[in-house]
Amino acid sequence: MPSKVKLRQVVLWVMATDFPLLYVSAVSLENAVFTTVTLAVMAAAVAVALYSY
Amino acid sequence: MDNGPTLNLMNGALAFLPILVLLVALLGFKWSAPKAGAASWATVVLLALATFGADTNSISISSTKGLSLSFFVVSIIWTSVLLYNVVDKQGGIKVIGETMTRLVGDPLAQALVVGWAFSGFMQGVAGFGVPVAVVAPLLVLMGFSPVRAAAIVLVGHAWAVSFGSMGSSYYTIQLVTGIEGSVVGPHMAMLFALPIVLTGFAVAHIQGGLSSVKRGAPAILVIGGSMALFVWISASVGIPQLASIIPGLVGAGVGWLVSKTPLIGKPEGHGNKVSEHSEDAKPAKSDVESAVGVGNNFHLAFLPYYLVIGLSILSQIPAIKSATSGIFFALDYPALETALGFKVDSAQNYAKIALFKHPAPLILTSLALSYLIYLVSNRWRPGTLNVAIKLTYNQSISTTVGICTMVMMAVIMTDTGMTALLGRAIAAGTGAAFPVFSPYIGVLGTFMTGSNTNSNVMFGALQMESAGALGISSVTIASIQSIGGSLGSAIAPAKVLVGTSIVGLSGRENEVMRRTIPYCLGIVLLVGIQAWVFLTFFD
Repeated sequence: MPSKVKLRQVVLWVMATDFPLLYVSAVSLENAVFTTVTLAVMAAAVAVALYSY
Repeated sequence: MDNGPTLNLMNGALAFLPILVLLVALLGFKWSAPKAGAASWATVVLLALATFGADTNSISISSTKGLSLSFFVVSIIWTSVLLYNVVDKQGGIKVIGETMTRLVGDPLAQALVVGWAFSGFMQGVAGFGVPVAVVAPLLVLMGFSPVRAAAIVLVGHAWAVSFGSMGSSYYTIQLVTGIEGSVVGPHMAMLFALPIVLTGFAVAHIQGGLSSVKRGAPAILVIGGSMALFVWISASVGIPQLASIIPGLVGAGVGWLVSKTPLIGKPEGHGNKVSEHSEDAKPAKSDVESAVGVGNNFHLAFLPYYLVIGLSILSQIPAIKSATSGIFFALDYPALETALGFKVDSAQNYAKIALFKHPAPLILTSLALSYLIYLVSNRWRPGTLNVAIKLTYNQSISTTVGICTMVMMAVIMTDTGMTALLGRAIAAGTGAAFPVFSPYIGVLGTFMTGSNTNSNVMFGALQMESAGALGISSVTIASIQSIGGSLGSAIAPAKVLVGTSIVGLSGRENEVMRRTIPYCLGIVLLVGIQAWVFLTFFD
């Protein structure tokens, strides 16, 4: 299990990576499946933030 | 926007739930901002899907809008903290601080020049707790007790937060309210005159009680008047990102001049609070090596900030403005409508980061120029940049995640109509007295998150909704939201913790907060009354 300090960095990078993917899926492509997946990734990052902070 | 569901007890209570979760998490459970932000984002997503008619697509778009706003603000934080760290690693911050210390001898003048004006300057160039971290130890070095030093800088820098950090909070209030900077900037600056002067009186009172207030009153009015004037000028001529830097410098300069005149009276013997100063407590001369780094040269130490100021002024030249206006980063967002009929307009060039207007590119350019000048003049300390980048990265992670989660929460609340409902509820509850309470909402946001910027994001739209529902000036309400958020920095636990930890008072935060809370709440009350008078008689 990675340390909480490492997990905090993971949260930051996942959010940063998910930002353009969320935009492309929801705004550019308007693809419901892709949008749900990218939103789930953001939810996962938020869940890790809840644990690691 | 007067649309969406009609306010009732149930939807009003549900709309408040994400903020309640944030409040309980921050104040009740004492969670950090990222953790509390994460909990409130999860709450708002579930609520929006279950009861406010949103779907996964609209939640995704609102979250992305939140990240766009976050990127706008976070880029200022990362670059300004990086610049500060580079200057610090070059030995510059120490030289700047010690130069200030040597120039002023009287304890009251030290409190005013360093704890009030210079801390405002530091808020302008760095912000995010840096003024507290830098100025509080300087005051201790000058002979102030740690509690007094922390309280002085917490209250003293609070006037500079809205326009500080290269204007990040000011830009945020523009973004979330949709009011042009040329409108809200000068208005906010005008309303800031009162709290600027009042924070000066508060600093004098913390330093030496009523006797310091009496003997410092003429000087405070002169220094505060100068700072207020330059805040207004900076905001009016289109350089709001410098509206803390320039007034802070002007205030420090005027304060230094005033300290050499009879405007600051002599201390009343040794029985007052000045006695905590002794010659032994005077700072030692700089021990910064002169062979590398900036040595003892103030102007070399200050070079990156000179460049930031110069580039910011250059960026306002119309020819340069028009030549670079097409170079920017921004995203377009479509219109949204919830199943309950709440509509949000489409947004073009949302949270625009213009190459030669946004503070982040200006800071990076000044950093690059400073590097070249230091390198050519053999002043560059090898490894400075690597150390500064690592430090900045580690310092900024939590702030970034906190801002992202809370801003996403705030935008989802806005886009699903929750903020509108809350605004209507507050307007209905406070009525004509709303302007008096409005700045306290700004204080609350900063108290919860430690950030004027976050406060503006969280409550800016809500304040607009309330003002709209009451039919009062949205510009004044947007201004006092940000002013309240700015003044809330004096009591925000996140900032108090920075101050107490750096002056060796860890675990004694209550002692500092007991000192700062009365000044903060009192000044905010006067700001609210000022807004009410302005709206009632002059608007």
